Amino acid sequence: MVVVRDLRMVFGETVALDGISFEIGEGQIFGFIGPNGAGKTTTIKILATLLEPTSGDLSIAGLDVLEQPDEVRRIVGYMPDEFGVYEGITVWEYLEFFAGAFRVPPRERRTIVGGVLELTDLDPLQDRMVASLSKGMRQRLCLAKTLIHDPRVLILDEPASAMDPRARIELRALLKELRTMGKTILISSHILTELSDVCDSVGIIEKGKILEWGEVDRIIGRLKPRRTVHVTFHREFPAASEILATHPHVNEVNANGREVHFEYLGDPESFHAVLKLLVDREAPILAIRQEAADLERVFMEVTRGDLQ
Amino acid sequence: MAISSSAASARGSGFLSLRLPTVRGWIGNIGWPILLKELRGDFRRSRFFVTHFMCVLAIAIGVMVQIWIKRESENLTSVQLGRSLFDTFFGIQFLVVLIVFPALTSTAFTEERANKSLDLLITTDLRPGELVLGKFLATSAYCLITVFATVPLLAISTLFGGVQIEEIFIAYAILVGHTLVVAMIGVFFSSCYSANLRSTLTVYTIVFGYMAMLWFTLWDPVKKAWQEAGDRTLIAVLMQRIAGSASADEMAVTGGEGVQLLIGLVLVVGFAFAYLFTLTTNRVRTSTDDKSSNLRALTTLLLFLYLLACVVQPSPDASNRLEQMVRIDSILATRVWTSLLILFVAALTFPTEPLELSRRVQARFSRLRGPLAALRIFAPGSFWGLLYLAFLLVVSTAALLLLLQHAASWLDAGTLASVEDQQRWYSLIDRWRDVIITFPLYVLAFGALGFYLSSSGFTRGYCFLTVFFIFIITLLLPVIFEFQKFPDGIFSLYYLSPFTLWSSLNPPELPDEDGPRFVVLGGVAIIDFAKVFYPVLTAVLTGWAIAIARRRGVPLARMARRVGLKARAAA
Repeated sequence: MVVVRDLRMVFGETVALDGISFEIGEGQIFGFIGPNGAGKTTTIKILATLLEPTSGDLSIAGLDVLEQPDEVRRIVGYMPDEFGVYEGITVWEYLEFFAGAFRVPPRERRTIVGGVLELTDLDPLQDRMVASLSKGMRQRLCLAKTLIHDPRVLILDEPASAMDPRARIELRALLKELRTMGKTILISSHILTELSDVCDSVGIIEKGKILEWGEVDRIIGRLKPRRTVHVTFHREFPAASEILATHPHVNEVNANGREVHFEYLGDPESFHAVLKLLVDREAPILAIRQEAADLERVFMEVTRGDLQ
Repeated sequence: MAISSSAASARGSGFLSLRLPTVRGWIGNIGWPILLKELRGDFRRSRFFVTHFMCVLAIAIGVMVQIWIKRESENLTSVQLGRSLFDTFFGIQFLVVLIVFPALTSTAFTEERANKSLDLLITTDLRPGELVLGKFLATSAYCLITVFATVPLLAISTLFGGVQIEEIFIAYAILVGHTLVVAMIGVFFSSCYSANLRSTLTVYTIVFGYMAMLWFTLWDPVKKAWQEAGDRTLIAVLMQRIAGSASADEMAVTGGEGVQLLIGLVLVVGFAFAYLFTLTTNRVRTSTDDKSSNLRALTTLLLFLYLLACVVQPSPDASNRLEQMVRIDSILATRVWTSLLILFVAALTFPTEPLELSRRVQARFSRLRGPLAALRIFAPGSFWGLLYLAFLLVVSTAALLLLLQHAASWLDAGTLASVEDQQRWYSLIDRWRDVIITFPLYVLAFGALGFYLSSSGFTRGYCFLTVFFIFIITLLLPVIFEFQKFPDGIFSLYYLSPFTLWSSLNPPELPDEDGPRFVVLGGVAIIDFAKVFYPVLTAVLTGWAIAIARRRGVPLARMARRVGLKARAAA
């Protein structure tokens, strides 16, 4: 649905994007991750037809973003990271205005605005002035505006940055619902836990380059990042540290009373060998908990934190 | 609740919900959503009520004070009082339009930028023209409410009698016309800046400049005519002047000229309006969608129409040969200076555009091949802008020379009584020939300066203002040198001033201290010097600009044929 090839953007002396490429399949949620200044917003603005890249190709739903920007705008819903809302009008009027701006026929506007309000849980606030909404609510309103013309592709730049935890959970649920409706979603966020739960695939960008992109599980599996394992015993088992340290893929063993924590660097498939070491020495194992490698860890593993 | 399903159900509801364009849908395409949104937002603000209340209050106080003052005068009839109140009402209302409305109109797009909502608008399905039209209609409506809210106050003056209904209509036409022009200027400058203050200050500068021009050019003769007319309203005197039915003085024009003047005024305002509108729409477009070619087309149309009108100019009537000579001189002056003004606006606008073209724009113009490739001069960008300006200058010079040749045939020198008159006639023709050939070169040099600045990477606003500033400086040079008694020499920039060139073509009849010495520079007539100097300056600046552009790796004449996926497919 979204194809980006060798995208390059140069502002004067600064190379904002240095040949990035990725693809998003139809109905997928793609998480765009990167530190500040990595080039996320520039990429998003190019996809939203607001900027022209120095070179590279982009297509959305088979439409060339550079050649057919007007057609692209009709099928894309864009939510910028920083945006303003018109404070002198009500929530309903705000959405009605954007419905008009997207040429939704007047006859259909009431139904569609009502539907979008319901979908985004803003219907109780429809008569409230926009000026009286909190920042999180405004963000939700902007998301509602993004949906008003029923776009096939949603491009959301930091959509939850001002939302409270509850609103974030609701946003995740909303994104999942939109996915079931067949929408393709590109979402950028700093809050990685937010993305790991909903994204089918991610792209990690730093200094204008895509470091990794693909399905979340595949990336995690490929990068084989460290996993922290917590083992709890019935009683104190002082030999645990010594036993575990003998395994070549175990690192940083810390014993704390009846608990032992260690880093496991090997394949998930051969983790049983570690357990076997303990069981063979009759370790009184009560519980084993493994912290699954998540997007945050992958991100830290892949990026270097250099500023551009 | 699924949006897709709701949209689908809504689309399917009722047999009238067809895809045929409706009147309402069509109206919705000319800025209606923006207008509605703006009016809803603006009318709920307290600023709306406060502003309008203050304006109406100011006019009401003015009218009341006028009644109070006139009450004291003896022998004042009811009709005279009515006319006096009408003049007061019109005067204050006119000042409100020019002093209050710029503040209300100059934030149309700056607020969107400050609010970071312009990107949201651009990514909707609204065309830039609809955005600008919506903003213009909204700001105009906001201001026109004040204009029409004062109708009850006007009614007070009509109670006393003496004011014709036509005068009321004309007064409102003037007020509404000025309101619309101020609104368009405000919307335009709001699209140029991101800060409200800059936009507002610029609009006030323009409007105060206009007020100063009115004051210095119109106020004295109108006031004199007003006093002579005695018991008439200001509007009646103005109309009488335009109709040319009053006694002959410096303001008098014939009836035919009055109509010409009105048509000319409407055309000038119309073109200025179209120009500003096109400029504004281009300001709110993304760079990929640059349509400044429309502006070039509009400028070409304006200039060509004007030149056509010049060339088909009929011979002026006059009672004697000398008067005819003066009239021919006046016609040539008007036509040449107006053409040069249009050309100078083109020199300010086009070569100061950004140097680099978007790939989409390049692809659009690269399709012009063969003989059509000449149309690439309409492409955006400073390089093509300079070429376009050169094209305009060549065409204008040719047309003006044709007019001059035409004008030379209007008067047979042999019919002039004295040798001095014959010499004056020949020198008049020679002088205008020099002006028509030399001054476009002067304009071209400014175009080259704009191109040089643009290729050096300066912003468009900086390039525009720098060229304009240097133009003003060259105009002021004679004033500066004269005031400071600076010694003029061969290297003096004094000679670059168009005023100096012009005065060199009009040496004083009686030689005085400051007269003929400006005619010659190092033994060469400075007009001939300028004919070489300006092309050399243009060539140097253009060559320099091209070198800079090449160093920056910006292609000038070369245009990418394809863009995006098509380019990849071709590769």
